[in-house]
Amino acid sequence: MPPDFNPSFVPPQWAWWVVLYFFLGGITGGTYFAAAWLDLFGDRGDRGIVRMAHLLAFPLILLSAGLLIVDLGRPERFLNMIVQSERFPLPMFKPYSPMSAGSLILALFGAISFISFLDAVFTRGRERWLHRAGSVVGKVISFVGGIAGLALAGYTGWLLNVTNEPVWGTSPFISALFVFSGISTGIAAILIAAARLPDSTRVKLEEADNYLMGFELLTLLVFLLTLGSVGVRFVVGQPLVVLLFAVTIIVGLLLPFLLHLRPRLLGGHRTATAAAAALALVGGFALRWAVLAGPQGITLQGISL
Amino acid sequence: MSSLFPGLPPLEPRAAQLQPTPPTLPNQPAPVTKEPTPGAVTGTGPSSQPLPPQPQVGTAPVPGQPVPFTGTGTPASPVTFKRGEPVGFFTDATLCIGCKACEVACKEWNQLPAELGKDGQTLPMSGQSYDNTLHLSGTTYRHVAFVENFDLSDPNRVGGQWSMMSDVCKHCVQAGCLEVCPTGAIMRTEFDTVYIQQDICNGCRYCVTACPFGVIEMTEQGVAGKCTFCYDRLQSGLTPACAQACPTASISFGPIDQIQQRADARLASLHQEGRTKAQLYGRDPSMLGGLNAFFLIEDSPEKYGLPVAPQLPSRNNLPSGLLGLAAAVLTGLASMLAFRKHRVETVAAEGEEGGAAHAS
Repeated sequence: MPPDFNPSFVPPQWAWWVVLYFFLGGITGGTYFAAAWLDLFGDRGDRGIVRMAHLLAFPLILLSAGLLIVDLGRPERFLNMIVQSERFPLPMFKPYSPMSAGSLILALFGAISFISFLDAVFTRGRERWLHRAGSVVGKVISFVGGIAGLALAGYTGWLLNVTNEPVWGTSPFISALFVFSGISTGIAAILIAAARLPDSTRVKLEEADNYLMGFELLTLLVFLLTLGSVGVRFVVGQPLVVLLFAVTIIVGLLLPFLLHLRPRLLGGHRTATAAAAALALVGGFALRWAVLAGPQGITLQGISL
Repeated sequence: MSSLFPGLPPLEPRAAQLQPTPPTLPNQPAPVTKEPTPGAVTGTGPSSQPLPPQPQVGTAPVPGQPVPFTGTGTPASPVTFKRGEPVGFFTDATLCIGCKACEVACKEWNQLPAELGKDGQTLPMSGQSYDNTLHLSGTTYRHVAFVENFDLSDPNRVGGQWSMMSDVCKHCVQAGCLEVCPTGAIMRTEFDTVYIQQDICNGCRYCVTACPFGVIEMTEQGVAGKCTFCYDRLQSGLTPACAQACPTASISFGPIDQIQQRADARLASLHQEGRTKAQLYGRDPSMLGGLNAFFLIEDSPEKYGLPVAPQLPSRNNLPSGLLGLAAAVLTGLASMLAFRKHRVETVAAEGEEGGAAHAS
């Protein structure tokens, strides 16, 4: 019987830049997705938060892309992922390669979030041009951007799964896990960044987040179970990875859920919301670190395996 | 330049070997080519015969047209092959003596640096084997594995033996690295080999994760590196350096169908001798469509550091994509529900308040 994982695997040495990219990419996609869905299905009271999320998403995607580029062995050639190096400007696209598809997602998301960002910057204190209430163009942009945000949050999990590395290539649930976690951390970022959050918007975002945290917890458990003996060796066998998954579950999922249900534990809604959001972000970061560390053993000092 | 081994011609620097034949201009008549015949592969070894006809260099294949190119190997390993025809390596581990001539010849031809220790000065010693290279890397395209079959509980090591095998990139017909490469830097050549264009690679390292054999690693230049199958030599009609240097014919090079026949014959011969553990690894298309560099081994693949059932990473595209899509749909629906539900509740509450005020 063949072993559960390929013993010839070589870790790609994707360390801190990639952990941060996966984390920030999820937040960025989640932020824009939440804004898009508030734009499409929310009400007039949510407009301020939509605008704030648009101001947040584009700088975050720039930062994310920067992290990705810095991690390349030859950063000056990053464009080779987007255009064909010898047949400029023909696009470089391989739909069966998640990294190639991810580059396209990143480019599409970057373009849409840039449009929404400009619309938010140049209409400060006034009715927005594209994303004004009832605008069909704005709703189309929001819908496409929301889908791109979902794709941005989830493609990193798909990318990890389409490898021959243990843990990453073992369970296909990793893509779903990253979708739920990415959108949840995006909502958390909005909840932290919004200084004056209307109660109605907060309730909506927290309720959506509760759903997502429930899905994420369920998916995480299924993901860990489906790792089988690979999980025993690369998760249970590494105390740091066990700790990080524990942080993800307890700090990043259960505590925020509790604070959403019982805000008085921290004195009231405002404090509880901010604390729950911060904990969710900690959990999201721990999840990316735990998953990437699995076959690579990323410690604070770097790759240890 | 002196030869590595007596009887074998020296490996001249690539510039000297690639010079002799001028390129054929497109308008010139196609040169007379010698068609390969079954059994034309005559293996490696010393030869005193005169130089074979020089290959044509620089003629690009034209779809639908006869290919005006025939490689004729080298005096030490005269092999007939054509451009556009799949070629391969058959590495017979039962003939390998662990001399590492292939490793040295590969390093010499491809101008690859030695892998130094952490101090950057000395050669690292593995401390666990006579094999100090241990594995393939971005600058070690051939690696002679020393498989040490010893009973470690016996202090005299009685009955132990070494099995040697010269490992290399498998140049898979279905290559995981080529599938995932996001820049198109990894390509399939006209000889059906897999080649990394290092001037296009941007060092994303996705190919490292995709190779089921752990072949690809990064170089100090920040790009991926692995066996090129001596693409430059093939284009000049020359045998790859490792196959030319191999003094025991453990490494055979030639058109893939011919070396497959040779491998089948060798396996049958070994089985006739009673060496029934001998098996071909990667010969059949069931393994990644067939490996263009396949092996004859005399133990389980794991003993040689080879995976039993290598798989393409793209096997996960569909399940992972579908689950991600399902999660995205669920997220969209849950968020819509949360946002709309609240709006319905708000509208209902406003309606009740309005109705009460109106009634009063």
